[in-house]
Amino acid sequence: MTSDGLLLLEIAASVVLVTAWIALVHRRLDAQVRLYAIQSLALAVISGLVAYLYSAPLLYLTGALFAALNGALLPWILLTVRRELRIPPEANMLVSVRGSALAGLGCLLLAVAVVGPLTPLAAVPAAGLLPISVTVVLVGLFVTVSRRKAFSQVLGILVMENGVFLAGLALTYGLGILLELGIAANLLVLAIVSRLFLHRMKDSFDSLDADVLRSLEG
Amino acid sequence: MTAPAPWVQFLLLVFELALVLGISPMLVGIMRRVKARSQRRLGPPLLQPYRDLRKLFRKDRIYAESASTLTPYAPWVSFVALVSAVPFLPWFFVPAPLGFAGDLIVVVGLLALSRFMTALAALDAGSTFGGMGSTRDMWIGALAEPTFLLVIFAWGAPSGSTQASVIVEHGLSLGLAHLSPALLLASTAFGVLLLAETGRLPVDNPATHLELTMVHEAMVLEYTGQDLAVIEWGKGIKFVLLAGLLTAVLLPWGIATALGAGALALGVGLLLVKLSSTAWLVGHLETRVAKWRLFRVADLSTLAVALALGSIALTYLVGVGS
Amino acid sequence: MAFVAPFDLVGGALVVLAASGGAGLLPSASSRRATVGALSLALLGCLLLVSVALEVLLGGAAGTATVALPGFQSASEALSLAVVLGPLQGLFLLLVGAVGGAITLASVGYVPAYVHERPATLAGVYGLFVGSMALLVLSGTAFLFLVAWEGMTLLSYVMVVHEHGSWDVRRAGLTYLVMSHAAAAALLAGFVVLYVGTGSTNFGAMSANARALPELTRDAVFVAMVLGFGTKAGVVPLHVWLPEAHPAAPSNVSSIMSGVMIKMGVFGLLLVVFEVLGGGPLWWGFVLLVLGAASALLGVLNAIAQHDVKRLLAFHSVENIGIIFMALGAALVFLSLGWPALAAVALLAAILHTFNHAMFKGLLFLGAGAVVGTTGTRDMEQMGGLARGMPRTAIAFLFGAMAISALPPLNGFVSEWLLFQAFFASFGTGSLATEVAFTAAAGTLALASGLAAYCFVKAFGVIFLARPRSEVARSVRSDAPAAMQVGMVALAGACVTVGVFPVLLLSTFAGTVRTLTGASYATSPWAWGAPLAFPSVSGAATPSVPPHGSLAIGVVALLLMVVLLAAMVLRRATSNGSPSRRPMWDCGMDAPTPRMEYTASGYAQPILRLFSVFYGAHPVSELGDLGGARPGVLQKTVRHESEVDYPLMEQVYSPIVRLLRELARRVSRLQSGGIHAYLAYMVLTLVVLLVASRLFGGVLP
Repeated sequence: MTSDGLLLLEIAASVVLVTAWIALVHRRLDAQVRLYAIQSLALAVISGLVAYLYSAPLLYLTGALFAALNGALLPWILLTVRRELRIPPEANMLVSVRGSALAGLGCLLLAVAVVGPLTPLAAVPAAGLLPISVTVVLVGLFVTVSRRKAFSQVLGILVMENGVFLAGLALTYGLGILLELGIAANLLVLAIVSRLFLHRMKDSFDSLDADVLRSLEG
Repeated sequence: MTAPAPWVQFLLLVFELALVLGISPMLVGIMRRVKARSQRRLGPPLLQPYRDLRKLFRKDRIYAESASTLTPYAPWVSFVALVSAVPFLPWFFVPAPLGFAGDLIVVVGLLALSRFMTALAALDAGSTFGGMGSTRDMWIGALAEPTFLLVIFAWGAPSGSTQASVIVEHGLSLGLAHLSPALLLASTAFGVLLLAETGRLPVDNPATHLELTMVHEAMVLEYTGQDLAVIEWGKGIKFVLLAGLLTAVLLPWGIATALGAGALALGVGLLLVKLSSTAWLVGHLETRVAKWRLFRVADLSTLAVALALGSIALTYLVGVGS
Repeated sequence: MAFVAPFDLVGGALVVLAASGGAGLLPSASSRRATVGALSLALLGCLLLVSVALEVLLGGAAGTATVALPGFQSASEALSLAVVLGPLQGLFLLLVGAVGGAITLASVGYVPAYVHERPATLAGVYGLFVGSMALLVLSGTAFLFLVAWEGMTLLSYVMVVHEHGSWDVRRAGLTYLVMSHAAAAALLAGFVVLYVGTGSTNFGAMSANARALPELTRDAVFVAMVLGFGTKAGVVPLHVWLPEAHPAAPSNVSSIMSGVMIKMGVFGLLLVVFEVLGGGPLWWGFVLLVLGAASALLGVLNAIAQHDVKRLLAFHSVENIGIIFMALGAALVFLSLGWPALAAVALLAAILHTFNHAMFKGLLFLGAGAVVGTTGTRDMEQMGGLARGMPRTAIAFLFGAMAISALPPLNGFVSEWLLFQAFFASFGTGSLATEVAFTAAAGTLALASGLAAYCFVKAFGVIFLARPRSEVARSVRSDAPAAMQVGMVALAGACVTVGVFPVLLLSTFAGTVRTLTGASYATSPWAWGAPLAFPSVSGAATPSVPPHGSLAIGVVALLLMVVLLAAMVLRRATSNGSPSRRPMWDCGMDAPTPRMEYTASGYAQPILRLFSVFYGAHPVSELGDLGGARPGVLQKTVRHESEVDYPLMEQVYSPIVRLLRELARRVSRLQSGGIHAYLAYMVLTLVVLLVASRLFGGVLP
């Protein structure tokens, strides 16, 4: 049973990796947000699995929170923000699609080279988790620097955060501190998102008065 | 796992050939049907491709006046190369009947032979369409080759073999643990490859006859009659080959490793399920994506190569795969 | 078993080849008779070489025999001469004799038909050239090796500039000569260092002592050898002479240069780096691997951009030499990691590909020669539809094209398969750098072979298929001369035979593989259905490499035949009457003209665009010359121009050439013309030599 659980863990981790990679090369913001949502849901599943495997009931809560916040609420906010602020749907990439795909590979190789040797030392539930999580962090970082739009940068930070979350799960089995960290990170991201929101509002309307949003209608 | 007696092997070989030849039009039918349904159309009946083949086999052959003697034979060589790849792959029983004689690299070679012949024949009449399709198809094929090979390396990594049967047996022996991140990464890359190699959206639109978008259709414009029949049939077979390989490696369960009526029946049944679900998935995907510009196909190939390399990195450097 | 000792046969072969030179070069009444006579003697020489090679390879005469040539024992050991005949020599004699023989046979048809100026001279030099290659292979001492090497270079230069009426040809010849001499200088330096270190010029004695040399000395020798042999082989970035010289030469000469002569670079590396030096540190292998990968990729990419058929083929030689170098590099890496069995696999791939490339490239150049000779142009845009006028040439060329594209069941596939397996096997070695490098190399090789297929669909399609693009192409009625057809069919047959029964050829590699790696590769030459097994290492502990792929290409070919037969039966059964011929589909337009066909340049365009980084400039396609019409409205004429630069030439070689010119200008100041100055130089030289002999007298015997 445990080995099957580990296996599911690995599969979920692969989903996290593949979604990050595809989001990296995708040229549509909405699709990127949806990929992020899938990734977050996969992380929530991982959280639940770790909770089950290592009898850490607190992690069920983390997982549920994660699914609700990162898997549903944040994507919804992002999609709404994009639509309401009329941000054009294309991700303006500073690096070509091909370059980004290869950059993803570079992130993976770097992660594997740096973290790979550590894997046997750390008591990690599944061997691939640590390099994958570091890869996801690096990919998120790459997204933040290689996109022109503030929206993409937020997305990149969110992906990074998912990577950190995965690393935390992999290393500590998510006990105690992780929960707090996870929530803190989420709050941070929410703050950034709202900041972006307000910033854009200010840019567009020279005002933070929510009433001006009505002018968006019609 | 010992190989069965030669005559059993032979029977298996014949049955596999018949199976693949027989069901490939059906899968084309499924794809068309699913695509039509998800576009709120009724779509052709599932058996329509069989009727098309029968019709084509009855029609007269016409060749362009400018065509050389290559034209009448090229589609058949191309078809034969595809059919010959069947016994090297695991379908419902491993080891594959001719697994000892050829590994997956041979399959790559046979697919290349098939493509080479079709692309040559496209140039034969001297029509602009043919040249256009030919150069585009070879372009896509040249980019697909490294992906295919690296995916083979990635798949073969845990078992240390490039033979499909050994890969599948190894996967079966691992149980569920076979589904490693490395495998999933490589299989994603192969999925991209499958779309490119079989001429599906977003790489090529099998339903188009617009010169801006045609790839495969442009190559075969000059053909009719039984030649066109084997071209169409071959296209279906190519899909079955690649889809069969993907499902056998990704989800090897159900493939029999020992002879027995139950095991074989289960193997065949699950094979049909796996193949038709792949066709169903591809059909759905085709409704959701648009045809891409030809040069964006290179982006897709790069992604696939990167994924395959990533898979190899995970396998060898971290040992995730084994 | 042997009625004639191998050395006597070799002597006979060399004498016959020298006589061939005599027959061609001596004044003769009938130029035609002299030509055919010289070439026939050359053919006889080739056959003798083959018999020597077979006797050495199959006769069980394992080990290496060296014979010092009596009467040539100089007072200085450094200048002594000896010939040697071991498994490696046997293999390359087979290459020179068999592939050279087929090309010579074709030359009997080619030279009288297509070479209009001084054919007998060309034939005579050709015979001597084959002899120089045989002598090179047989050299037992570095001195003889260098003499033969220079002879080979100069004779081939004479043939390259045979049609020296054109400025292009002379320029190509000059490039070739200059680069070859730079290469020979590198070789000379390498051999001198080896001689100083080991105290002998005899390869056997060198080999015994070379492994104990200091690391730095061995590295220096390796670098010199890579420069020297790499230039001859045509590996990037030392290949620039190759796409110039091959097209300039008469086609039978291009054929033997590309098929056989550039392989002498491979022979040199096998002899010096593998046999004499016995392999080296890891980075040696990586150097060859990187050079090879760069050559494979740049070679094929440049080939695609060409519309001169012979230049296209020349760039493919660069590609295939790259593949061979990759295999050699892999073998070196495995050797230095201590995996002789895997090194043996890579080495088998390297040698097999050397033979394969000789066969199909020789064939392709002959086919190109027939086409160029018949149409009088090398420009593929002027060809088209030649399959109708020259069906046999077309079929032979098609086999060559399929073999070079690594399609099963032809020979190119087998060697690339072996190389892929060697790369795949790296994963058991536990060396991270090797795994990463070999994976990248495998990807490069796959891309290169995909692109090669692309290029040959283009080449075959544009030359032989579709409708004639010019009046010349339309008027082609006759196929190549009979002897040429026989030569091409022989090579095409060899491509198929080696493709279907690779063990026939592979079994002759056993001795070489044992000598160079220590791994034994034993297989029966008749085990055609048996999978290509991985060689086992006798004596040493067998490495715990996992089981690998297996290939019984004979079975694959048999399956293809059976399925093809069944398909043909189906075709016959469902056929209703003979097919009719109609005009091609014109999409409702008025009868499309051949000018509307896809051109060679058009076909290459997607690749040029995707890999524009590797080409100097994007191909320029412009609408130009408005011809009086208002811009943007009806344009009277439209001109498309596509120009592909060759960045390496401009960015790397031009500065070097400029630098050399500058240096030459400075040096020329020494030539004051005054007799006193020249006498002073002499005195100065004498003094320097005396001092040097005093200082280094202990080192130089």
